[in-house]
Amino acid sequence: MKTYLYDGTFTGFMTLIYWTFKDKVRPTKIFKQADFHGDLFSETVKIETDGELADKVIKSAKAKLSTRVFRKAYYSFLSEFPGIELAIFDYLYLGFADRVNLKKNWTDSSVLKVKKVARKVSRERHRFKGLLRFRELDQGILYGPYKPDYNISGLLAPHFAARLASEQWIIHDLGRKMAVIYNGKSWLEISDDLLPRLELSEQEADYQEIWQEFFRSIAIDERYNPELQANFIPYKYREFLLEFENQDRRL
Amino acid sequence: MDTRKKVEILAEAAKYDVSCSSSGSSRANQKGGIGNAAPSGICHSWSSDGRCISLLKLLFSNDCIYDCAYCINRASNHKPRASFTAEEVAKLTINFYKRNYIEGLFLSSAVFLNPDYTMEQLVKTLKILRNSYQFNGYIHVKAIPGADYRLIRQAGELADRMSINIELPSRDSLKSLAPQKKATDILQPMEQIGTDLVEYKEDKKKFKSTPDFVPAGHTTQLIVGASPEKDFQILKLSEGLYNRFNLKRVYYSAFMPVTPDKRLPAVSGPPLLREHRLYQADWLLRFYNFGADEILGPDRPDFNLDFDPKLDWALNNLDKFPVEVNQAGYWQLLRVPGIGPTSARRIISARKEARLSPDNLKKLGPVLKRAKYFILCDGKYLAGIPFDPDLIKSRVARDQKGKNQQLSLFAETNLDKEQVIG
Ligand code: SF4
Repeated sequence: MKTYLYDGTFTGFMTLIYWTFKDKVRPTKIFKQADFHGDLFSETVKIETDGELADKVIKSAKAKLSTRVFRKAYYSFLSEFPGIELAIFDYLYLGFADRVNLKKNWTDSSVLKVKKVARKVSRERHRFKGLLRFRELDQGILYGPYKPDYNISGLLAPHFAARLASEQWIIHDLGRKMAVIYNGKSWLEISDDLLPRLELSEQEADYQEIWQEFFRSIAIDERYNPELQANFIPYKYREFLLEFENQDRRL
Repeated sequence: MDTRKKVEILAEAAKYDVSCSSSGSSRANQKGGIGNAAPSGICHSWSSDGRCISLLKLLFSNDCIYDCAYCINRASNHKPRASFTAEEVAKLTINFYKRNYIEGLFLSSAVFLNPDYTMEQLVKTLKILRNSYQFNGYIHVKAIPGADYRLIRQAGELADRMSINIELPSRDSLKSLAPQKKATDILQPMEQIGTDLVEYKEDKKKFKSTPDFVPAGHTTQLIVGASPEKDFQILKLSEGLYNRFNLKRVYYSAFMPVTPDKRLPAVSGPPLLREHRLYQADWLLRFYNFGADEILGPDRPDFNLDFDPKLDWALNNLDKFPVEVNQAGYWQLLRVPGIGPTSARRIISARKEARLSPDNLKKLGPVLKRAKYFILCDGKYLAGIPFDPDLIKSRVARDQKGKNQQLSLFAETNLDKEQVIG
């Protein structure tokens, strides 16, 4: 009975994978340090996060398994689902040890779980490529607040860095109290108490109104179908969407 | 008039164009530029009719000199009129894009002054966007029927997608409902775009400097139910357009009367189910290797509204079933109701490893509730009834009835599948 603890970061988790694979042990449980409240029966092993070892794991997963397989592991990790670490352990272990083609493995429950969860995360990421709304702040910085289910800000960043390459922007995950900031060259994840003061630009209110006008005008009344609309865009996503009611000019 | 008021008038006027897709282009951002195009397309919102909003869809002007019977912008309709300037549209696009409201611009226009002048304004807008603002996001632009093809070609070099709407599915209907538009003014540029698409691609292989020409392809729209054409005729037309003009998509728009006209049929509401069936059949043409003649025919000119076209086809061709999932080829599997491209592919790759049993089959994702009537798995017929055509038909009909299709009914076409796959 071995319980492994790590610092909660992906680098930490990859370090954990490094040591457990090396020692050929399958952890009984894996916890983030902060979530662990002691356990009388099992032995605990604390993993010291090590960037170099983590890199080794990542590189060889990409090379020996494939970038797709690695991406599934990474995405499912970002779900932050309790217990997902152990499934990822099995998933990678199966890949490395048995060299079975994970793509064709439809039976192993850990493989299925990782694939399923990765798909959920990927879907949310895709969704927010469209649903994130930026507000223009007074210095021309674009500010996008949201509350995603999964920790996807780092996955959205490359998308917006390619697209809004010459702009400066902030993606703010209010639930996790963290933000990604982009300065026109590169992006960085930070804790949100480091964010600057937020004040809307002068023209921002006008554009929000024009957008709301567009949203109203483009709908065809004869096809009115709010259930279908809600199917695509559940209420939980509407909080930060300026085009839905009571969303005037808010930050 | 301020921009907001213009948007109100000119988005309202543009909303009957149903295409919204922003997929199929992979334009990259340039240094110092803004925007790129995502090959899979991205939806940014959904309006209260449940349609995806991906592009800033506007008419440049709704001040039309023509008088097409079905159109809200026809000259004889008393409506407020407005026109943008090229700079105005460009600026609005950039500001919407920056805020991540949209994937890009869908710019159409009524014919104001004359076709050439209108087309010039569209080209000018695109030039400002691409050259002054260095915008690399998605642009769908209309080619105006009757405009000089050189202008249309210029637009094609700047846009990602171009379309000319045929609207009415036959020459006769065009003549009676859109008397000022000539069929050749629509079909000729379409054909030319189709040819240019191929030629530019060839040239590009030889000369790197050749610009892209409508990289996301060209499309058109047909109005369903404003004129007497049968479904079969419409589907044949689409098939011809795909084969002869290299069209990427045909969109179908259920007719709804927006202005009274005695040439138009009286309808209680847009024929949405019919439109839905057309989309499904169109899907079969493009991805399932069906021919229009297999789906409908002169003796069965209209869709069965109770069953989707693939199920309907299968029920009418029960002599081709049941097929053994351990043997059937890809295209054969695709014809089984309840098996789509994904599960067909999975079946083929899984059965290389081991012969499929009913249990394994389930995991590969086909909708067995449907498929069971049409397949054998390892020699077994899974439907729990004898393979008897009448019995199967009555069972399938019963299965269909139980479902409340209301919600899901229009979801499929709206999803525009290309767009949701991440
Ligand atoms: S030319 Fe176009 S905008 Fe003008 S009336 Fe005909 S369909 Fe409408």
